[in-house]
Amino acid sequence: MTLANRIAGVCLIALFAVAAASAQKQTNELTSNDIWSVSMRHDTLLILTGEGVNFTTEAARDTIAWDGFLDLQGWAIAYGGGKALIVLLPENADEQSNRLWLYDFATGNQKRITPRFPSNREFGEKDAKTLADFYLSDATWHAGSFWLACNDGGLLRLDDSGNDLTAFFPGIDKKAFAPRSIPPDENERYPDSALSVRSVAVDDSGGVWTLFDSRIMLFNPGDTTWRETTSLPEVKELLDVSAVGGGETTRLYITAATVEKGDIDTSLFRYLPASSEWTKALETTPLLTHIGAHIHAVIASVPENRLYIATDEGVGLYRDDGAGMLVEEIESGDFQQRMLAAYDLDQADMSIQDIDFAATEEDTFFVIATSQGLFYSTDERRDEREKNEFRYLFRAVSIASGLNQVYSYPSIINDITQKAFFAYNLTENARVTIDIYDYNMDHVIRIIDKSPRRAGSNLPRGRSTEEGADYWDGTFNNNGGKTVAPGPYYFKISTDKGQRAFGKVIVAKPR
Amino acid sequence: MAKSLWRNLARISIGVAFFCAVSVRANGLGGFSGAFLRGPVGANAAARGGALTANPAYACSWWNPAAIVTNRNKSLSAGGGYRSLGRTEGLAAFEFPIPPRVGMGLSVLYRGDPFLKDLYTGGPYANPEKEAEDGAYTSISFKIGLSYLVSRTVSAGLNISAYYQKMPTGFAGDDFTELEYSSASALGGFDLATRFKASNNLIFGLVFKNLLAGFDWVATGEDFGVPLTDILPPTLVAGSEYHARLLDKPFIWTADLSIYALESLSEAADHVQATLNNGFEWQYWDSFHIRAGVRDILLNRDMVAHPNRYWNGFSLAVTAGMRFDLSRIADGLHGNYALATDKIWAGVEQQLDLVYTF
Repeated sequence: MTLANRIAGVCLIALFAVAAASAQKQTNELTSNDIWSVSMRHDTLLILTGEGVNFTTEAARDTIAWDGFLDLQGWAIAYGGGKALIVLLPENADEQSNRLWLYDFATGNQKRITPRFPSNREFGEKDAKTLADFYLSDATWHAGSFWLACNDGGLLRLDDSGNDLTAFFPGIDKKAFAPRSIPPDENERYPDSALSVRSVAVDDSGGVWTLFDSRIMLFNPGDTTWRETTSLPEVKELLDVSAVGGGETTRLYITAATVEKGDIDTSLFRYLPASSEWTKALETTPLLTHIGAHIHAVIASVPENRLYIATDEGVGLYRDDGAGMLVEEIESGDFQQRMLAAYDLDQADMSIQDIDFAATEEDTFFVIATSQGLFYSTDERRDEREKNEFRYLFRAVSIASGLNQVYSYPSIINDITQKAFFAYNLTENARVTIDIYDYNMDHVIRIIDKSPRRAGSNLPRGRSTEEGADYWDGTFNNNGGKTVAPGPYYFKISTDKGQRAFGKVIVAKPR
Repeated sequence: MAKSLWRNLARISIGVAFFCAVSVRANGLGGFSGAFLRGPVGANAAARGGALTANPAYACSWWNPAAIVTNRNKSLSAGGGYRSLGRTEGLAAFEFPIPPRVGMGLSVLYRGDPFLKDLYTGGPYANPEKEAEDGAYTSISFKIGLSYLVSRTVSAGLNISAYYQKMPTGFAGDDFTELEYSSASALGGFDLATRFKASNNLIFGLVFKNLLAGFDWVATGEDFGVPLTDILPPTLVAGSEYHARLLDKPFIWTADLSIYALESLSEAADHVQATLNNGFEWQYWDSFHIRAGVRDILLNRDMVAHPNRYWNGFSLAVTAGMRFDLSRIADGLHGNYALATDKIWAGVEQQLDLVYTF
């Protein structure tokens, strides 16, 4: 081989390597770092953020490529049977939340469900009340049904086709009925609070455990009967329930507000229905180091009788030996310190908001939803925990870049749309320049030149765009002049911090 | 040798400057019709700053049909490239001589952006905006070139062209997240060309491009159809190629000046523009030639009269590449590779083509 050919070969290899490096794209695309809730089962991961719901069906890998995004403002999510149910936030402050959104992963079909709450007059209640809108506080899935806790009263079951919604009232052994069949009386008041269901969990044998006030009730879906358990005098209010096992081996973990020496605090209790035995499982230390700290989530589905418990203070891993207090295995601050250290985050800025745990045949996954992004760890084995850093932090904005969510809307400038706005979000205030280029990257016009723009996190829709200025009308002067030639155009948004992003807009407007 | 090289370069530069002084004024080329036609075609040109009008080795029907007849062999070329921000292209060309004085060539060029992503509906269709489906922009250009050898040093040529474009022009569907496409064609545009070999070392080419070429767009969307004006601006391209020697090896310098002075044959442009492309090929090794260049230097009066405006829109591309011999695979086969910066530094552009002469 001649020297020239060798050089040619090396140059080609080097050039292709450069090209390959330049072609890499960011794969973890979230729309918000403020992650309220997370649900993971097998390979499907859903997160609820302030912007919507991100999901992937291939979570069991080193990097998460988000498959899709639902532009919904939600309160809670539940996943099961290949479907996701999102409890939507009310559209305005005067409303309760009763809108549901059902998404089918297999078909991509979505539908909105707006159930009308039935009158409880059918059950002979004296003060019959009904409500057109109602407040849903919890959701879970089991064996083809979503179970929803209604804080205004009732346990709701929605079949996962979204077509059959029925309501059951605690303590009332009646056959289920469909709310839609009874027209609501809008002049009546809210249902009695004794019928409100705060939380719901389903054990492995299908028993539906619900909480209201200071009572725990087991609902049997088969014969629609209720069974009440004993209650604890020191419990002021039951807050949340998780169920492990089924039948005689069922074990419940219940978060409750307790009153001790006149102070209100939160504690974790273990309840064994088989023996009606209540025990306190966790004291207020070390997790709950101040009054008011509360437990966000208890994940009891970890193998070997372990629980992950997330609170305002952090996340801890505990072992339950069946009696007495839980044994702490990983300190509550340990996870948090690892997360903060790995990504140079400020502890004061981050709060733990939800956790979930999932297992596949090959691995286990633990995800933590925080106000600063989604942390994700695989193979969280106790014996090797020092080696297992939280490997991945998924954020809407990479730590280096402060410019994101860049696009034009509408992206086609024609005789109807007339102009396109440029959407972009800054993580800090900056001076922004927007340029337009044609297909040959020839400069067309500068839209704004080093104009000050505010960080988008506190602005409507989290966007830094200034609607009155950040637009192009498809002309050479951006002021109704001569329209440019039809075709695709490319815009560049750059900041004085050195950030740049590109987008596309099409002009099909008459001259 | 060096003195004569620099003296001749100086002569060429003066000529270019003369062109600039006579013909240039005001703004940039962005937004003019035919943006999809303005980039260099083929990896050879792409590596040499897009300056190949005087003496193209292949794809002559695109660059300068007058040069077809000066290539004695048949030539078949094919290649493609990927540019920044999703723009892609593909080329195929075939040229052949018809002795003793005629040559003919065909070329087809695809240019498009099949990755129109992150499109959103909005405005009158949705508030807040919704993400629309992904789209694509497609253009295809055909050229048939005829070349005639007038004398040993002069040849003339003619291209007949056909163009096709397709792109989304509106929103449709129940929630207006689907895209409505429109397409347009331009038939019968033509180029007039000439090539002049001034000496063994110096060749000039002159091409008057895109005469009588215009697209018949009707932009459609939900319940509307609007005609759009899209006339390709006739362009005068003057090219030169100078042969010299560097370190006793062949060194070829090329320059193209493209002048945009007309909106159509009957209408002058509001603003006259010119772009300058420069490149070289250094044949240090027989089987491996190095190329480099600078492309799309905008020349206009704003350089002096409105320097802020000029520099705001200023951009150029730096190009590089190579020619590599593949005669071990087949006699007469060689390849060309080009790598260039994007003019706005959004990414790198690459092109690769194979040329078979027989």
